Amino acid sequence: MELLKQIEELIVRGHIDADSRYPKDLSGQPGVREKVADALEKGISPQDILMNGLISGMKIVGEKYEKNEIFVPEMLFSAKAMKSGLNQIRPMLVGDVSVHVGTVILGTVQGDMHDIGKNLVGMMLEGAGFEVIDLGINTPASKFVESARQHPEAVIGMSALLTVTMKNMKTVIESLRSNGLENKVMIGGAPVTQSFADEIGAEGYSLNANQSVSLAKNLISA
Amino acid sequence: MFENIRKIDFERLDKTLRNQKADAIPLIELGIHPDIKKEIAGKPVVTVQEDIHFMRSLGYDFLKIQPRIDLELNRKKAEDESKATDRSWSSEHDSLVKDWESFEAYPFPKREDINYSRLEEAGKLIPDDMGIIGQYGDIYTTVWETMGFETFSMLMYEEPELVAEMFRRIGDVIYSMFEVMAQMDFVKVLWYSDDIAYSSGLMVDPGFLREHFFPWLKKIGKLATERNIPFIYHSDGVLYDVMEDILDCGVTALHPLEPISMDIGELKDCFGEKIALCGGIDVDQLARASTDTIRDLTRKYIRIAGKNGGWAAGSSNSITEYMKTENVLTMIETVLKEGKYQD
Repeated sequence: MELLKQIEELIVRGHIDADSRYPKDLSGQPGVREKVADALEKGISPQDILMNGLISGMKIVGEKYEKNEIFVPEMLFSAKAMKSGLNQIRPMLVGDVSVHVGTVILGTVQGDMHDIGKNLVGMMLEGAGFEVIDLGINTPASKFVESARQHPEAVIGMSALLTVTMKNMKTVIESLRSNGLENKVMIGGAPVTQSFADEIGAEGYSLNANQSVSLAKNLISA
Repeated sequence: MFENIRKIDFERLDKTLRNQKADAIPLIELGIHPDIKKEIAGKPVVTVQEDIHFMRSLGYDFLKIQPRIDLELNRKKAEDESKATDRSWSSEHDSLVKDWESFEAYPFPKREDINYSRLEEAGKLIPDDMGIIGQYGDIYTTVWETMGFETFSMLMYEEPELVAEMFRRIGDVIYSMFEVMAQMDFVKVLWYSDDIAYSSGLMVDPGFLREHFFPWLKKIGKLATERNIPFIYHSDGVLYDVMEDILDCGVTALHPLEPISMDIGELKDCFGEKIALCGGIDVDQLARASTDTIRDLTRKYIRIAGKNGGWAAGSSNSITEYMKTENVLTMIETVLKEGKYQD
């Protein structure tokens, strides 16, 4: 199997490196970390590794997750495997506009401490080539505004788990607009719906982490 | 408040939870937030006696009580400006147990630490026309909360024996509560709650749940079956992939039927003959919609979920402090007035 295909397959299987015991049948064998190093040594370009190994692998992971063929734990291993490869090639990609899909500023809104969903979205976005700026949990509107000011081209992604905290998404959008910021906004989380997104003026709503990738791409190109 | 609309009758709930048609649709809730109770009652509802009186006044045929235990969980707090109430959530990263060393150091609760005094008091005070539901849960949730979800996810594969031991230790203590509750004659229903799914699907592979979680649910279900009392299971999220497992555990009623996760009509059609359904009225709507919308929504559920019995009416989770009290009361009043069977 050609090297990039192997990297893609190892991303899908979530095998980080030779020290990783997951998955059991690959324990002790080279993982994404070693295969990416190998690919670089063999002269494969970092762009090629990114697009045809890491990103293509994470795309399959996202599809499998959406079809309930894999679950959050398996997806976490895949994301860690991807990072182990990405960290090696990232310094070589700095300033390369051809691989920069876009920037997404992510945060769980104020009053809400949940971040599994947000982190999954972040992983999928990174896996698709986005730069992700993670503002963390319990994020006040002012922090979104500050980050949007620094990255006017970025999409803002907000997450909330409860009805009572999702109303704070509206506060963030109002703060962005009153500060003259036109960043596109996408929202998600258990209680969030398309109608709520429409109601508060968010440009996009995503049902799950995988869908957030195509949504962010659409918002970037819109 | 609603005492005059219909008589309290625990048999109504008992029959419904056995998936039979009672005289009318009963009400059910996993919990009602103290702020909402206070607003409705006009004073804090604190004692068991006050709680019995409160539940009766709203038309509930039962009182639900948990044993008390102090589980040292991995919790963070967030303050919301709109309400005085703090909410605390488990940390999804930090781990109290992340390896065998921290496992050995963790102060696992013991059976003798469990306090049943509130249940015992309720057993003495409960009127004949009401029943007591003994409720606890969270074997799965306690394991992942103690480890943090990311660590738990990694250790599921990298240190499976440690995860298995966590389930054994936590499961043993929580199961013991059900053993004790099942021996209390006045406990008429057992209710186990433990979220295993998101609105997009199960949290973890169903094979893992079959190995570590469902055996505990089945053991608890056996206690209910041996006593011939109903057994309710609560989990948020999409449960279609494990419905057969849930049924196999002796669960007689499923709660809370989040509409974003599972369609009530589909559930009724596919599983209505095998299991009773509880809840379903959208938490989000109860928090944000108008009373007219809630009345219409409740009528829709009476029509669809209540058809031929086997549905206990309530919210799609619990009555939270951020709901509109008038919506909660509208839902209850609509069920009490219109949730009757003609034949």
